[in-house]
Amino acid sequence: MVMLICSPPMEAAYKNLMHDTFRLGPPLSLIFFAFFFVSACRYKNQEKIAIVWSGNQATGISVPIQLLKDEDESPVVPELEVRLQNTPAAMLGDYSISDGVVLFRPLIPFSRGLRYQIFYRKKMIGGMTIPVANASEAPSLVAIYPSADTVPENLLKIYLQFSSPMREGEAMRHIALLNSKRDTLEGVFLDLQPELWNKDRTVLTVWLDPGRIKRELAPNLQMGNPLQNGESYSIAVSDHWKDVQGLTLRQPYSRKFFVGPRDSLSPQHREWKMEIPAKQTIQPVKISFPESLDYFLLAETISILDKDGSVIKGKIHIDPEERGFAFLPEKQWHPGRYRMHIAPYLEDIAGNNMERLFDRDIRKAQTSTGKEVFEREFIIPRQ
Amino acid sequence: MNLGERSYFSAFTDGIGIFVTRFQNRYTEKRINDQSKQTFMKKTYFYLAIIAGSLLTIAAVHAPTNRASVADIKSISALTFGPDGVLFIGDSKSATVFAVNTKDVKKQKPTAIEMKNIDQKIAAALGTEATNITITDMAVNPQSKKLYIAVQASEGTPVLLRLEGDKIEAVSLKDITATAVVLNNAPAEDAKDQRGRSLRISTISDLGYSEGKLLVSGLSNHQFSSSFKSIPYPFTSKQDEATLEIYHAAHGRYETSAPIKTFTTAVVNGRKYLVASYTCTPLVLFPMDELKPGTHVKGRTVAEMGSGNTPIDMITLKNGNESFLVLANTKHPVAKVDYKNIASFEGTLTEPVKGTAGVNFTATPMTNVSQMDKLDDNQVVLIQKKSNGDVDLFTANGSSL
Repeated sequence: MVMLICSPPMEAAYKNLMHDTFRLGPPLSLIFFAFFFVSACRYKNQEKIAIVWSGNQATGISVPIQLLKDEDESPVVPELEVRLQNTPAAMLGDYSISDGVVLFRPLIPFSRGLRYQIFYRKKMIGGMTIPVANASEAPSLVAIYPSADTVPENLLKIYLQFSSPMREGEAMRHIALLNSKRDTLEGVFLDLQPELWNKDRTVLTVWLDPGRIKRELAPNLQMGNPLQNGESYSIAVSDHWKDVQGLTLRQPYSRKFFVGPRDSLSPQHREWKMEIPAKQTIQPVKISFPESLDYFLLAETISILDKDGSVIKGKIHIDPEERGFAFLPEKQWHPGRYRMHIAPYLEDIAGNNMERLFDRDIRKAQTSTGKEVFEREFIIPRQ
Repeated sequence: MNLGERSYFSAFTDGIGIFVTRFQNRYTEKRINDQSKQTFMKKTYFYLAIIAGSLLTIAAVHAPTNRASVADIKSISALTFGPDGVLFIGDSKSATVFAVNTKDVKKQKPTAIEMKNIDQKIAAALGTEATNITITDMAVNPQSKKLYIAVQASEGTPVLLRLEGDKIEAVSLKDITATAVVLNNAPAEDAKDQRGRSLRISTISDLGYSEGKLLVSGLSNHQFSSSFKSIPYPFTSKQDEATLEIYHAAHGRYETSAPIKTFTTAVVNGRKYLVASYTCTPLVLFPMDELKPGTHVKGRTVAEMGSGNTPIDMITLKNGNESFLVLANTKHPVAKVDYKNIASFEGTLTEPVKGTAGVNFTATPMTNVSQMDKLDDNQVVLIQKKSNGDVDLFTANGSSL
């Protein structure tokens, strides 16, 4: 067991774990666990400078102390520097000593494909290149939402979903909207910094410029709606877009879509069709809509409750073109009344939610209900 | 570089942080020339584990509910200084604002802050290339006049840096106390997709501090609407925060709720206003005394700054007795608006116009400004991409913009 634990990758992992206990404050048991194994594992007999990995990130460099000794003198760690090759500045980071090595952890992980040099008392004592990531792990564009091939001319949002975490801050360099003549349209997307990524950086929300969609706002009058009814367009995603490991997308992507009339209506939940499952089954209740709704909001805004008001546990599967969904319960349906709750902020793909339109004509009477939730009832029959 | 220097994410409670630091210093600032010391160190790890665990237990039991670990910072989208060296860090990824006491409170006279090719120099200090980092925000400490810079690496790690003259240094928060307020305290509502991934996407677009209140504006993927909060500071375990519905009208005809991208506060005609700019560049005024919890506040649109553009930063500067608003944009040049004109523009935009409208503003020759903050009442610090591609940090006098 000790042999296994003290193999270099595991050893590095436990080293990192040790640092993380100070950084992350996990449960006590983890601290004791970490300290126990750290005390058992050493960088025994390490003779060379080595990269320390945390998962697929190079988060440190370990330097054997004997490399820092000058004849009779013992090493002075503050005189150790790690530099990116061809730059004069020492990298910022954290040095610590234990078990015969100095461990340097930079503020951010080392970059794949770049070379680093280690200096002691201004003299280079070693260098290393961080290997590029395995090309087989290259990211792909999993989905573009809305997935329908026809969208309203006041389409507000597009979601791009990737297979692995992507780099932030460069989306506008890699996404383009082309018209039917294959001309790239300028000023269509809102250039937001920071970009709207989800926590694990796999889903990006891109807004079409709302200033151009909002009627009679200066950008709308000056440049017009980004999309025109009756036209076709393509959204193109460049294969130069890199993931967090520095790997580019597997291939460029392009999807053609058509544009229909403006959508100036809120989603009408009373028009949704329901397909009711039989009792004592785990068949889904199926809902279909006359229009496409927002893919990500659907999963967030819908809940099914039993007659006592308890939320039924289950999963929602969104239909193609986001024109419906199936709710699959974890447990069998019992006969009786159920309610489907819809949060008022569920939107169609033009940004009209259950309560209000994306832009309201204030000369017309407002029909806001002030409801906290919209509801549809259904009954699982006894027969 | 000092031995024992650690990233600011390293410490998780004051007690533990200080203890660890002392422990590290004990073993790292001295020369290592004695094997017996290493043996002692091994034993000490074990005792340290017990003591650290005990301290953690004590901290967990007695820590105030809003005491925060800076180790929890997942991203830095916005920075602003509050009173007495308190730096507010807006963390979009965890939907939290951290208030950290930088203890950087020694009053200094403002001196021009400059650094050519700042993107490359920061990248070198982080051991990477400029294309692999993004400067997400910067803020001048109003007391020490030092510039704090938030950077995000392309793989996602956030970093807080500070300029000391021409030197870039990491801001170590290891011994610094922090409190926090969670903006979206509803993990139970955090929907997941079929693969268990969180669907909620939001960012903190700007932070401000005014008269004991932290002001936070946000963007979200799930609603095209204003997420604006006013939170009393110091934070308490029971937050009395105001979430506002803010609307503005386009030419008196269409009304929309929209996210605020950047804002500042200013006194106009003796009344304090929130001056907000939107993703689609209208400039809208809201009286501060009307921003109360649960209210539906309609702002007064005083200007439209033009199309194809997103505002980036907004500050108020003075020139003698006169004050003016300075607005940096993604596409348009830096714009200046005289508050006298805002004060005299009593109405709201009512007629549809092409191009720009409302209060007159001056487009300065300054283009491609990505970050901006005030150094003092008269000077502004900017990061600008020059025509030759260089990204420079420099200080300018507001009146000469």
